[in-house]
Amino acid sequence: MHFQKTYHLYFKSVLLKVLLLICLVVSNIFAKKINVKNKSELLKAIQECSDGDIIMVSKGRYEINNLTINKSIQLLGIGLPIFDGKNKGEILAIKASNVIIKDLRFEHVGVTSSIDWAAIKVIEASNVQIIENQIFDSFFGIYLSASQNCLIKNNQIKGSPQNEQNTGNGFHAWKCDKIRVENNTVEGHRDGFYFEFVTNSEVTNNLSFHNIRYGLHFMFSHKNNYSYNTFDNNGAGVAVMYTKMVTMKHNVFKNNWGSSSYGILLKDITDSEMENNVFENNTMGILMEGCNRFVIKQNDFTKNGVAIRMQANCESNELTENNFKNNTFDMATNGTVVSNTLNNNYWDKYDGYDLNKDGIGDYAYRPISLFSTLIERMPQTMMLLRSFTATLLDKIEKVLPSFTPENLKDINPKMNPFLNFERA
Amino acid sequence: MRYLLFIVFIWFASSCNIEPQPIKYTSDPCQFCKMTIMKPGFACELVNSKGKNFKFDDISCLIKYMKIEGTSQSDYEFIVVNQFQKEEFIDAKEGLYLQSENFKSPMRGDIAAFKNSPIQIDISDYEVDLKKVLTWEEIFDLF
Repeated sequence: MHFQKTYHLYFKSVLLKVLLLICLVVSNIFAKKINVKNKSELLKAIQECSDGDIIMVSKGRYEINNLTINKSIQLLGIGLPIFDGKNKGEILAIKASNVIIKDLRFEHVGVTSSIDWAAIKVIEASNVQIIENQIFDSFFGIYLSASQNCLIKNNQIKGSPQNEQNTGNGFHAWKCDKIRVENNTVEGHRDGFYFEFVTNSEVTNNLSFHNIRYGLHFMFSHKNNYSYNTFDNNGAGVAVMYTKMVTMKHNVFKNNWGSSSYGILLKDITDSEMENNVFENNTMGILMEGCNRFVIKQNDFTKNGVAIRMQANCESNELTENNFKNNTFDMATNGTVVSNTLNNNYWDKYDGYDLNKDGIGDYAYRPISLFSTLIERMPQTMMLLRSFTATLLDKIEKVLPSFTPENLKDINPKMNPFLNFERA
Repeated sequence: MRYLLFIVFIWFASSCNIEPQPIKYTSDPCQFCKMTIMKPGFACELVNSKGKNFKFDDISCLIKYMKIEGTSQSDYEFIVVNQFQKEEFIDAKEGLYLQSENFKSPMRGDIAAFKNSPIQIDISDYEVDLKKVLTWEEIFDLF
């Protein structure tokens, strides 16, 4: 009896698969493959095609403005054909689901102050895939608006801003859900990657550098994952704001120098995690403002001006198992930072001893020095940095703490740095 | 000699003038949200009685900053806002305002300022109700 039942189920599933296969074959038979060689052929093909068709675009230059795709088709390039916007407006707008755009090159999208013109704009669609395209000299590169389940992969986006104020974002997403952004490169735009009201999305393996403002910028974008990305030498680093439940792992934030430039600026971020990231060569590694329940774990902070600046309005944050090496200041704050936990980090400035040889220093380390609190009140004193007076003051403060926040200390400072972090 | 002293005096006097400073776009950060100011059309500035400048990228940031700091409008010598799509400061109290999601201002305050009347500027792309013109006091209570 039991055998019969499983057999019956097995038969049913096989039948389903066969039916599915037949459907696929049939749909493939009806799907046409259209080859186009010039602009008029392309426009005609887009107009006359039906769902499931494949349009193959041959090598060449196509002058195109405001071309709308409103059927589920594939637009594939052969030998990287060029779609030229001639600085007159947008190039491609996708208003249908299940569209694939692949192996095309987009150039010269026009600039306006009122409309966000983009090389590829996806409007209210789902399952759109934009793969292996090149986008050069565009106002906005790829622009997703109110779309779901899209994949943006292996694209190269490069802006060439003549006027720094009039540049758009390389990749821009607004009100999207479940999108995947993988292996893209963005340079020379206002913000490399910009997300606003984007949820449940994955951003992995991207490279964002030499952008005018931020490498990555998101606001009100909950439950997103950012991993294995590199943000290098952007105008003001990376800024993320007003968001809950963000995970950032294995990213690299480096070379962001300037008075208002940060490795990452965290403003009003709650219930989030930051693990296994590298912060290197930044004026300020992390600036935390209004952050609650943020876990910073197993990160490397190397050669920064200030590794972490935690403003007084941050609460219940956790800093554990991080390496702090060669930073001018390990931490800074503008008040008395309370109820944040520091535990089991390696601080290269720790000069304690370890008598019981358990690898953990025998007295607490206070990462906020007297000199950094002094600079907070009088920025001009910076010129005394590394002077005899400043060092003396710091030593005295260590023996008789009176100015630095009492509860901000690492009670279990590691004697040796962590070496086996998993890195990108 | 007296002439020289006079010039030096004028130079000193002029250097502590209390007035709005021009905003350096793409490099100055907003005082409230710390974002770099990019769009001239929404930028604004406060100048206190000591002549200190505070720059903002969005009118909502300016108002929130004033409220968080617990200051009132009389604490500032100047409250100036850029006109929509322009790089030209106007006195905030004399401005007229429109609010629409379509403006897409940096911090989503989505308020555009106008000197006299919004109708003079082409805002047809934004689908705003031109009858709903707000005053500074009404804007101030929004955030």
